[in-house]
Amino acid sequence: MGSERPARLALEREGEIARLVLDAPPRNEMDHGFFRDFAALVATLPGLPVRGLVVHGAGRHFSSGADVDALKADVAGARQERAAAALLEATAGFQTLHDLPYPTVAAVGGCCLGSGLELALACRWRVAAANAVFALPETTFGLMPGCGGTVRLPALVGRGRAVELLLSGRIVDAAEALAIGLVDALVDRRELLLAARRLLERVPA
Amino acid sequence: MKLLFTPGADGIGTLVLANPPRNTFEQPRFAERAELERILGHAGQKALIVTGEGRHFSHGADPERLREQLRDPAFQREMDGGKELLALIAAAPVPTLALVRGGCLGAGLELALCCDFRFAATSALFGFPEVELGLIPGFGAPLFIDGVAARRTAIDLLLSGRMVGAEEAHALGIADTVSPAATLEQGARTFLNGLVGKRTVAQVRAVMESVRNARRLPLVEALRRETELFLQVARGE
Repeated sequence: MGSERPARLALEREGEIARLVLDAPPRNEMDHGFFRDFAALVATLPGLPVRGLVVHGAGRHFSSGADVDALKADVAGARQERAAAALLEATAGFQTLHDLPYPTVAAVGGCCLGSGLELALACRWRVAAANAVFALPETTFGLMPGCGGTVRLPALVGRGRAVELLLSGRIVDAAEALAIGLVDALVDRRELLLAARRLLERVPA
Repeated sequence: MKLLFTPGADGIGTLVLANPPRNTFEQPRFAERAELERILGHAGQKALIVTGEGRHFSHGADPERLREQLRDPAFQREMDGGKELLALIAAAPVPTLALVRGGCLGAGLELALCCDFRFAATSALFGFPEVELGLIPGFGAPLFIDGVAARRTAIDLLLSGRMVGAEEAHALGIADTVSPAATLEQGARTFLNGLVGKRTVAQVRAVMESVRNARRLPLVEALRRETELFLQVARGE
């Protein structure tokens, strides 16, 4: 499916910092083709001779995550084996990102929801613009996070807060995200990528 | 200690530690393992409130009795058995909330820290008085406070033995909320209902299993298990 559609991911190099762009505006939505492409691209990253990687969305949003209805139909329907495989690939891809031998930062503006947030959680740091909103809304659709959200969130925000966010599915704004440790810094929206890059440049090589 | 369990029609059960007036632990193995497992895993249950009968949550062990018990060479086994019970609560299949009025001390605080949430009445008092008796907390306090309060807070409370009131406990991250005793329980029920009211039992348990796995399984294994749980929930299994 991934090959039938234009690339929805881009890898840019700017000196010693690489950028991984979720490039399916406006919402940079993820479907299982995206997951597969992501896993394939991220598999090429460990050997990249860079000091760090910024992950961000094209346009206003980071990512709205998966199309829940499509995902639900896929995992329960005739293509469930394929969907399950794609989900495992996504989780493995996020873990490869987590394990990269150089630091990673998610630069988050706008929506960062569901698997979009799970991707951001796999980065070492998260910087956010004031318009960023975060949620793992899967439980409100009869599902649960399936790409690391339930495993990675407690370590960042504490067990109780994680349980509360996972079961309520509620939206956290940028200020609260900073207060609870979900993001590491709030930055001016116009300087989001610059701030992410600077953060990586401050890490000793 | 007697455990009074009331299942809730809304899926929110209540477990009362009933050894008033202070709900002390007469022995480390404070309950039958099978009984506690039955309470935690009660069919249809989606959340559990843990509280104490009367004015206090629990003052932990009775120091007089503890001194006698310590003479028994087999006492370590008893303590291990008690810790296993607390570990069961910490690994509960549903979210747990300690509703704390009055004293929440020593083993009582260790039990409260095993819960996912602590809602305090303005009367609540938290602390580890063991050091004042020449002892140390023996029920897993350093483990259970980890991830609830900062390490500096843990060290402060464990070594100083000082008591903190509800407001300070809130500031330190030990209490999630503080409210007047009159509205405490309703507030907790409203909160839990907001989390689990619209969720299925299967969803709640899958999310909780995965959250618990984050601490007890290697990362890669916890991630794989999460995807399995996701698929089970999605397929309505």
